[in-house]
Amino acid sequence: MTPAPDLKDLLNRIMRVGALVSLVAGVLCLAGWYFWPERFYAAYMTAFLYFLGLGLGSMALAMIHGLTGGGWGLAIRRILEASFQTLPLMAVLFLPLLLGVHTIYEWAEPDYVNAHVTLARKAAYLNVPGFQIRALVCFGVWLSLAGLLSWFSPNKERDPESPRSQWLQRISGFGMVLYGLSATVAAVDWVMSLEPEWFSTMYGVLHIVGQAVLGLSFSIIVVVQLSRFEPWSRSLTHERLNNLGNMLLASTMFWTYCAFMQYLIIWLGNLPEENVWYIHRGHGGWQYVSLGLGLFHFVIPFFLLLSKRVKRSGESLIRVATLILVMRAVDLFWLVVPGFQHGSQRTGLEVSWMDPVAFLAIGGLWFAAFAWRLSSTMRQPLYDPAPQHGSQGDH
Amino acid sequence: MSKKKSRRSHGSDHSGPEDHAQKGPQHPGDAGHAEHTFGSVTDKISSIVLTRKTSRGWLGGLLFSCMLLMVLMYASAYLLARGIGIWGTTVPVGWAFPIINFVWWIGIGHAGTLISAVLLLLHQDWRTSINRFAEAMTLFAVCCAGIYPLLHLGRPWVFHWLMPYPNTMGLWPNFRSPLVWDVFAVSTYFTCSALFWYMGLIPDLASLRDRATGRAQRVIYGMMAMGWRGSAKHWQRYEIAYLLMAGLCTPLVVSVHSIVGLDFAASIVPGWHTTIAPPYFVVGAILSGFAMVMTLMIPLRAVYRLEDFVTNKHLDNMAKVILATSMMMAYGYLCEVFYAYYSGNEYERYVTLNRALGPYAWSYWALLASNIVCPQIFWFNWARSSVPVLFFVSLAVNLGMWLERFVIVVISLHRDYLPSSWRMYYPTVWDFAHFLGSIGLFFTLMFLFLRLLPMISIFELRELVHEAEGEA
Amino acid sequence: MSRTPVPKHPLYGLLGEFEHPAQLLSAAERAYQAGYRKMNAYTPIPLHGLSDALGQKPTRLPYLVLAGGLLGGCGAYSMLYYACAISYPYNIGGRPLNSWPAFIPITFELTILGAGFAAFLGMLALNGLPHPHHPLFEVPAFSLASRDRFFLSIQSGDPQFDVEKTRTFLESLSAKVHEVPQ
Repeated sequence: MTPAPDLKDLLNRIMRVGALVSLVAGVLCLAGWYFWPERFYAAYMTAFLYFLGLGLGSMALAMIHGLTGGGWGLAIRRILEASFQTLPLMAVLFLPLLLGVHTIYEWAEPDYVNAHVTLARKAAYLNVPGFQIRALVCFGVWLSLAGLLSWFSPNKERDPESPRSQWLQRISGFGMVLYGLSATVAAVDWVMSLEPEWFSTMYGVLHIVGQAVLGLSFSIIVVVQLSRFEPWSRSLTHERLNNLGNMLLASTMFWTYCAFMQYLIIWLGNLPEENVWYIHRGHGGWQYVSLGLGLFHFVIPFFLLLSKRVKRSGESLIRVATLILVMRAVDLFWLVVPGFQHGSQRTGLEVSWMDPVAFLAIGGLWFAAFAWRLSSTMRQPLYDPAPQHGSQGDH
Repeated sequence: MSKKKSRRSHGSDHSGPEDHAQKGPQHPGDAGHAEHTFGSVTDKISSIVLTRKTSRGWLGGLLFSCMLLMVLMYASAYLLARGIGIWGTTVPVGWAFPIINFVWWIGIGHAGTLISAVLLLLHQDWRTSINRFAEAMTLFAVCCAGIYPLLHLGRPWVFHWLMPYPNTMGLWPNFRSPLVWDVFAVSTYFTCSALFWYMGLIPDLASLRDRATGRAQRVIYGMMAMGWRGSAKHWQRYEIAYLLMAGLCTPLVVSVHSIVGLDFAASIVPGWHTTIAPPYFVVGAILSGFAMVMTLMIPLRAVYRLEDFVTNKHLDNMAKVILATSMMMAYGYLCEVFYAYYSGNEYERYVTLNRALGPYAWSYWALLASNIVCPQIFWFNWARSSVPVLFFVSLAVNLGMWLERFVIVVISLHRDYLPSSWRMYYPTVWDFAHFLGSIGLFFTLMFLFLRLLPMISIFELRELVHEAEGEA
Repeated sequence: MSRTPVPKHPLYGLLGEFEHPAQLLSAAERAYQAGYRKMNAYTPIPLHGLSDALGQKPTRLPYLVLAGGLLGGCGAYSMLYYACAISYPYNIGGRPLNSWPAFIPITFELTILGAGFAAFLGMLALNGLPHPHHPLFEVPAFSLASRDRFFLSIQSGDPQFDVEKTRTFLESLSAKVHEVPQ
């Protein structure tokens, strides 16, 4: 199957515009990197984690679907595949961070480590060669998984007993294990170690859930948009849309649960080495971001998604998903940027022009790659709802 | 009676449950009801309660459970007379067997709500054959769990001081303490589980009322069915209420064990104060709960010949859940070790070393072996379809989850910040008496339930038959 | 049968018995088209579309549950605030009097409790349960409504009701017809 001509035009346009935007923004980023390297890396890392999270979250959802099956995943499978096939691009875009280790991380300076006893104690883990090797392993795992999942992508055969589906199931099972571990390592290495003395065991889970929320809300938006075009309109039923909405509700609730539990436990323990992380995010303007996260990443989407009417209409579901998509960016900004502010530089909340520009630079490329992969994954057949009894066996 | 005897759900494959086990997960309809009709499922399940003769096995089981229950009664009476000094619980291990048993039982209870609520919301129809039973298990497990904190109060007769009520002392409980949250969480959990369970029973009680052979049966089941007539309006409200209850119970079940986890994580004891504790406790609860359902279901389906309803497919699915949760537990254990190192905190690091190499190292390694290593066999298809393997692994996980709480509670407490107050913990015979006794209470209630109420939801089985007919 | 003074009509209504859910569904639609309104269907399983076929409105139960949950949650937080900040303000561990993070768990639990009670009791109350006796229970065949038969009752209170005509109507839908005494 080839995409409908008007859809093909749209995808081509996205590719062209994306590349162009990325080129312009990339030049601006280069200037930013030259003059304000620290602020540039903060902006770049936020944007990088965002689009990496889109790919990884989509891959995680694809693997969950590979394990459990269900109509919700059939509707968005091709979108998830196109999304995680952008991971090689993200591997290339990781290079600036890999090269900037000494600018970004305090623990990369031996003098700093020697002056801090807790850092000296974990120097066997937190050091530059270790960081590089672990990043290499993480991307190795993700790229191999993305390759395998694409290779064994379900095609015409719907039979769960076929060897192909069995392989997909097995890869998804092992893949989830590997993904959980590698995403945790990446979260600790790249983000948590920005504040090298702080730690929280929930941290990896928080990032993993955030990525799943990101991948899910993105694919909901795309699948609803695509339902205007011919083959897709058949694959998206009200039932499936409702299920996707419920999943969005559940994953947002789970994100809130993890974020709140981490806060509650640190608040209850009130140990100086732990609560400092929240103190940094509770002062100088950051407290409004925290408040906004609670309100717009949880309260409002939660009450909207309770309503069946919202979940059954593509229009309104898109609005909720877009809100969540935006709040994911705010959340990453809130996680990353205070980590770059050390000591006297702790100036509080300030948004730089580089923050949106870095998003445009990476996002332009990402969307171009996504559109390219989408027009390619669509050559394989889509999943339509099972012909006879749409709603009952199709979950 | 019915003319639909020849109706089958899936073409011609009716050669037994094994065939259905081969089907993929996308066909929730094939829970193995190939040859059943509305009438036959109703008659089969209700006859277990209404007409089946009280078997000697059941009587023997009940008698044995009652004996164990007597042990609990005796131990509790002795405890009330002498005080909680009869237990081995003492400084620095001020929280030992009672809290271990509490968490263990609460965890077991979670599978019931999970199977009935979460799987309902996920449209996993295979839950139908086990949800009633699992919900009953939840209630009885919460009963058993509730005993321990009450007895551990020392003066259980003033347990109502835990409740916020205007009292002559003008005092309130300390609402900032997770132990008070527990009171609310566990009592809400018990209430909502009981309501959910009873709501699920109402249409079946009506079935029993209408099938009843004696007057006493008819009156008692009739009163419990409250005049249910199954009218279109009844069903309409009922279905909405049932779904809403499921939607409420799902976050509830997560919150309950999270709060149990907070009992530990809120303190700053090394090894307890860790932010991943709430989800980690929830996952552990799911693991132990599914293991317990399996431990009980395997003998039950053999005794009551329920292989048509609780098929190998069910066991296979439960094994997959056990494997998945066991992997999540492994993630939790790895996190604990890694972050203990990464924290750079010497107390955290010592607790981890003490778990692996200290005087209670046997419990740590046994827990890893039974919670993480044993379930790995479920990666293989043959293991998930072999009943002895399933039974053995489920027993191992039950034991492992008990040890898990032992490791958390005892190892952290017996050596914390101050080496001068380090001390070993040894349980007394009364600790074991209370533990065994609670198992007696659990099985006494279970045996009574099996005899008096339909252990499989009849009306939901009829729905499955109906759906299967729609597909055929 | 009842010993109360004989009411207007000696019958509660007529009860049509069907063997198959599809028959009942189409019968319900036909009866609604024929103008019958005071009727109800009785089934051993929830049948989708049956309520619509009978012209019944969707239930208000979800709003009741929402109200129950809000009541539980707001009540809980008010109680906690009253206890900790007004009735007995006391510094515990240097925490603020209004320790909102610590109040969330109890607020959450009581929200669920309130909503759960509303769902259960609301379902019973709207359904008029418990209702131990009902004229339908006098029909021996009605006991199959909880097993494998599907029933449609048309009540004598319906303006269209006429014993003979209604009976013929039900029989035309291939139902076995029973009389339901008051």
